[in-house]
Amino acid sequence: MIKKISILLIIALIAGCLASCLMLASCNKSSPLESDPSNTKNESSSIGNLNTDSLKPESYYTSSKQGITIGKYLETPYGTYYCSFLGYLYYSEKGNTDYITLCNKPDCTHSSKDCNAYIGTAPIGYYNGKIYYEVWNNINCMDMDGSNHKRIKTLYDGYDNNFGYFHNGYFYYVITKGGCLGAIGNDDNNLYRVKVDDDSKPEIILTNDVILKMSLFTIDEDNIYIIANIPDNSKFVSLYSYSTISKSWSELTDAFGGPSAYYINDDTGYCYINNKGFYEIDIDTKKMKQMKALEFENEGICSALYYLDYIYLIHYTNEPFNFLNQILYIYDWDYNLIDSVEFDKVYGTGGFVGDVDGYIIFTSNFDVKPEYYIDKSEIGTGNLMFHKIED
Amino acid sequence: MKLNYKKSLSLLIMLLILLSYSIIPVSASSDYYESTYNGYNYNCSSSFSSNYLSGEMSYAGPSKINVIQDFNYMQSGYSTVYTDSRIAFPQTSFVGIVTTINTGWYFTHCYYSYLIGVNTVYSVGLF
Repeated sequence: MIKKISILLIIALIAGCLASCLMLASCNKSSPLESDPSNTKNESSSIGNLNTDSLKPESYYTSSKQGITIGKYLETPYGTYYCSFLGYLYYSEKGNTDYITLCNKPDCTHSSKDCNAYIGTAPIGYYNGKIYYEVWNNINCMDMDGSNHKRIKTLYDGYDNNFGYFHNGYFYYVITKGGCLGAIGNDDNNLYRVKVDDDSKPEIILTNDVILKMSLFTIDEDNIYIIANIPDNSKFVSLYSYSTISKSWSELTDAFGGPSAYYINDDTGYCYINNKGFYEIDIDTKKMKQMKALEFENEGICSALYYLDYIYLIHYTNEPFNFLNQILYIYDWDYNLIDSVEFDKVYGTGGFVGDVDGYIIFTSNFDVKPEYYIDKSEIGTGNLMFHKIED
Repeated sequence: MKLNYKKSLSLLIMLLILLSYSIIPVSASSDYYESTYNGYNYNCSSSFSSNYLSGEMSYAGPSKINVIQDFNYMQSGYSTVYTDSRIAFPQTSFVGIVTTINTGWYFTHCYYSYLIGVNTVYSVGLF
């Protein structure tokens, strides 16, 4: 009996190995730079259809949203889209419903770069009925059902990297010759933008050495806000503003909150500073005011994400920092704490993915599709919990 | 009979080890791999530290070779995770790519892909 089981196990393992080899062989496709994704139409009728229920203004969908990740999660009139850290694009009809890999290639295992859903690690954006994504120095687009991939334009010649994201029909970016933000070798102090849906060339919209120490930038109508590192200071960043109309450049404060802890809208800057609390700055007067003092016994690191309904403060409690233990605190816009819940399902790097309609979306790992959601109708009921997104 | 059991069991364990190795990402700060492609030797050398990523490849054949780094990085004191991808200029014989990040930033993970022509011949994740 044992012998038979052993033989069966061996056969199963050999079959597994052969399958792995075949899978690896199928990975041998062209690099994204040279890829030519299949334009096969997605046959699932429910994917990428316009949902006319409770549509928001177009600018809501095209604008960049806050997150722990940058340009990975999109709410669109056609449903929600998530690009995992492994580079695969997923679609969910309502954000809290099953995330489907956007690939209709027959027998595809969705585990290699020749999968139709593989678009690489760069950001995605929505504009005028298309999903846009960037691969190296090229802007590409696809239909909302994941079909009809096209290269739209090349930003520049050569192999230099860039960092940027899509916002209201443009791709805003900086060129990072050293390979990424903060890299040694970066020497291009321009901020560029390019329209995504025409044949225009990129334009420089700002030149300033602050760009070389930038952590992140935010576009708010005709203003550009840049947060920049202060050497040997991980508590504060400097906040600068630039008006594309008046061309005026100004340092607003050198005590602002950093990436994933700030938001700017309509002449007000909002931020959270670790173990100090919530602050607001009047962009015109540069006056900064503490709105709510907040100190955790275990300082950790916090994200502050500002959305229409609530402000989400996520406290990562582990020292040294990791994503494993995090508590979500939910505040109203008057900084009253409404509710809180622990998220203890992370392995590796994971957590908050996005906010869509009545749901807050989380994942246990950014490498995979979103897996959990909070139903906002449960906030403040005493019964707040994470629900599993079922397949 | 006992000998057959032992043989089967040994084979089973070996296969389990091999299979595990093929599916679990390498958790190390460096990696070296060598093999042949179209009858020519090639080797791939990868290293990772919190401020330094390096991928190098040598190939004895005539085809162009390349290295891709897909990596995540963060800024000290904040939770934003940045993702990026870097590709070298294709070369024959030897190609290498190094990414170094300043103080205040750190890499959390890098996935290296090594290409001969357009084919990925080896890939490894380090963190």
